[in-house]
Amino acid sequence: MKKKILLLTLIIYSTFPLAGVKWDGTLPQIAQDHKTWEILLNELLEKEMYYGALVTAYRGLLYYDNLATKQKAYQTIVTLIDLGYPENVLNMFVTGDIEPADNADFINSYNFYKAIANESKGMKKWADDFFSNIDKDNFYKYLFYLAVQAYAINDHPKSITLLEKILKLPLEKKHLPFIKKAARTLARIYFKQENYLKSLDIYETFLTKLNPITPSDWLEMAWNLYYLKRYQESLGILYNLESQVVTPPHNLENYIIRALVYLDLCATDNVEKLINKFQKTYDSAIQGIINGKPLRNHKELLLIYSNQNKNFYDTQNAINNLMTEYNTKLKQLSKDNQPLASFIYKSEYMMLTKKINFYLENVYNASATQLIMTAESLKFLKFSVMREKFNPDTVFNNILSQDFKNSFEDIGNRGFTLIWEQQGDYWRDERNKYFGDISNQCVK
Amino acid sequence: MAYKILIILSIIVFHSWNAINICHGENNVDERGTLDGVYIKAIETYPNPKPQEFNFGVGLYPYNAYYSGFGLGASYTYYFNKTWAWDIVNGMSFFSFDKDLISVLAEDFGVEPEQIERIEFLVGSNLKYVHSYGKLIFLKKFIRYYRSSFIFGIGLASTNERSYFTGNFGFDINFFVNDSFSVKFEACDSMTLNGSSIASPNYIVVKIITGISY
Repeated sequence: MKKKILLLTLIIYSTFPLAGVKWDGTLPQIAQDHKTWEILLNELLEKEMYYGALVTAYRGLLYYDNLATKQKAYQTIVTLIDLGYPENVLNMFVTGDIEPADNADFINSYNFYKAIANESKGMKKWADDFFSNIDKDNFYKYLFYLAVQAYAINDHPKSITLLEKILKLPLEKKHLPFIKKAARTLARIYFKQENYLKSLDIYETFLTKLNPITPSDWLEMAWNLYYLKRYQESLGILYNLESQVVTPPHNLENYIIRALVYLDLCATDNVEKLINKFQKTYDSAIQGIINGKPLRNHKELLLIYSNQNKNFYDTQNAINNLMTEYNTKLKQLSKDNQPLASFIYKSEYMMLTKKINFYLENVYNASATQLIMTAESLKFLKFSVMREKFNPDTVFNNILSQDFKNSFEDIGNRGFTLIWEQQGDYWRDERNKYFGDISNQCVK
Repeated sequence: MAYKILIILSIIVFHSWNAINICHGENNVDERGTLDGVYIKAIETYPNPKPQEFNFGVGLYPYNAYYSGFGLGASYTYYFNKTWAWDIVNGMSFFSFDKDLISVLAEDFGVEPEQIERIEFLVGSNLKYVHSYGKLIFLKKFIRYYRSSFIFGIGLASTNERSYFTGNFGFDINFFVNDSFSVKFEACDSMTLNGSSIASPNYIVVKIITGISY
C-alpha cells in the first residue's frame, strides 16, 4: 500500500515541471502561408461571408507578424464594424502595433479603437496618445463616444448637442448601422428626459421604418406611446412583437407595458387573459424555480432576454451565423480556399461552443431573476386593476378611445382609408399601422 | 357514396383550415388576431390613383379555328369616383396569323376555305364598375395594390367582310406600380348584336395594358 502511495505521489510531482513549459501549437499546413490568408479574406468579403471574414482577420493578427497582413486584418475588422458587426471586438485592438495608413477614415477608426481598448485596460496615457491622433472635431465615432460618456453622467444637453451634430454630418449609406445607433441613443435620451414626443418622433419617422427592423425599437416606441396615453397605438405597436419575425430572446417588458395599459384602462378581462398567456408560456419554469429545481432543466429561460446576458447572445449569434455561412456559402468559395475556410469555420465553431458554456450559469440566473420579477409584478396586477376600476381618481379620467369598427372611409375624391381586423401574422407594409381596439373601462 | 365522400372532404378541409391558421402564426396570438382579447386593427390609406387614365397595350384573340389575332390598342378612361368609371373610347387593331388548320385541311382532306372572316379592329365605349380593391404579394417579395372592375358597354367590330355592333362584357384587374402608373390585365367578350345566324362571331380578347394616370 505504501509503495502504491509513493508511486502515485512520484507520478503527480513529475508533472509539475510541465506547468512551466510554454504552450505552443502548430498551424495546419494549409494555414501557414499568410498570402493564402489574405486571398481567402478577400474572397470571404466578396461573398459577404462577414462572420467568417472577421474570424479570418483575427486569426491573421494572432498567427502572423507580417505588418501588411496586420494592416489588412485591421482594415477588414474596421470595415465589418462599420457594416454593423454586432459583437464587441475591442479585444482585437489591444495588441495592435501597426502604423495605420490608407484612408483617413481607417486611420481615425484604428486610433479610436486603440484608444478605447487602452482606456478599458486602465492605460490612460496610452489612450490619450491614441486619441490625439484622431480628428476630434469631425470624426463621428469620437463624437459619439463623447455623447455616450455625457449620457452616462446624465449630462443630457451635451449628449443631445453632440448626437444632433453627428446626425447632421454628411454620412453615407454605408454608415447606416452607426446612424441607427446614434438615432436610437438620442431617442433614449429624450425618453429619459420625459420628452416623449421627440423620442417618439425618432422611432416613428426613422427607426421603425427600417428593414430589417430592430424589435426593441417597437418596445421603446410602445413605452413612449404609453406615457403619452396613446394606449391603443401602444398595443398596436406591441402586436408587432407577436410576429414570427421576432426571434428569441424575448423581452418580458412587453408584458409589463400591456399590463400598465390595462391598469390605466381598468381592463380586468384583458389583464386576466394577459396573465393566463404569461402563465401558459412560463409556468413550468416559474414552478421549477420556486421549487428549487436546477435551472438548466428549463431551456425556455434561454429565450428570455436580460441585459446582463449580452456576451451570451453575441456568442450565440456568432455561432448561428458561422454555421449558416458554412452550410450555405462555403461551396461558393474557390476550390483552393475551401480547405482553409473549412478549417477556420470548424475551429472557431468548436471554440465558441466551448466558450458559450462558461456563460450559461449566469445566463440562467439572470433570466430566472427576470422571469420571477415579471411574474411577481403581474401577480398583483389583477387586484390593482380591479381596485383602480372604482378609484375616484381614475373614474373621472377622460381617456379618449376611438371606436375602430371595420370600415372603409372616404378621404377626398378618390382616396380612402381602410380599417380591417388582423387575422394573424402581419404584412410588412402594415407593421406600424396597428391599433388595439380597447376602450376605457373605468367606472364613471 | 357521393354523400359520404362529401362529408369526408368537408372534415379534411375543416381541419386543414385550422392547421393553416396555426401555421400562420396563430400560436403567437391567443385568439384570432387579438392581443389578450383586444382586437388589433390596421388602419391604412389606399393609394390614391388619378382620375384620368390613358392606356395602351397588346391583345390576343385566340379563339378562331383558322387564325389568331394579335392586336395593338389604346383607350382613355375617366374615373368618376372609386366605384364607377367610363372607358370613353377603347380601340384595338388586329393582325391575323394563320393557324395550322388551313394547311391540314389542304394536305389531308384536299379542301380549302373559300373565305375566312378576319377581325380587323374593335372599338367600343364601356362602363366600368370597380368591385374590388386589395393588395397581394408578388413573387413572395413585392406588395402590390390592385383594383378590379367589371366591364360592360357597346362597340363596333369590323372584319374584312362586314361590321357588327357589339355588346362588350368583361373584367380587368389593375396593379398599381405607383399613383401614376399601373399594369392591367383585361379580358373582354365583344358579342356581335346584329349577326344573322347562330354562328355570329364572338370576339373574346385578352389584353395586357399599361396605364398612365394623370
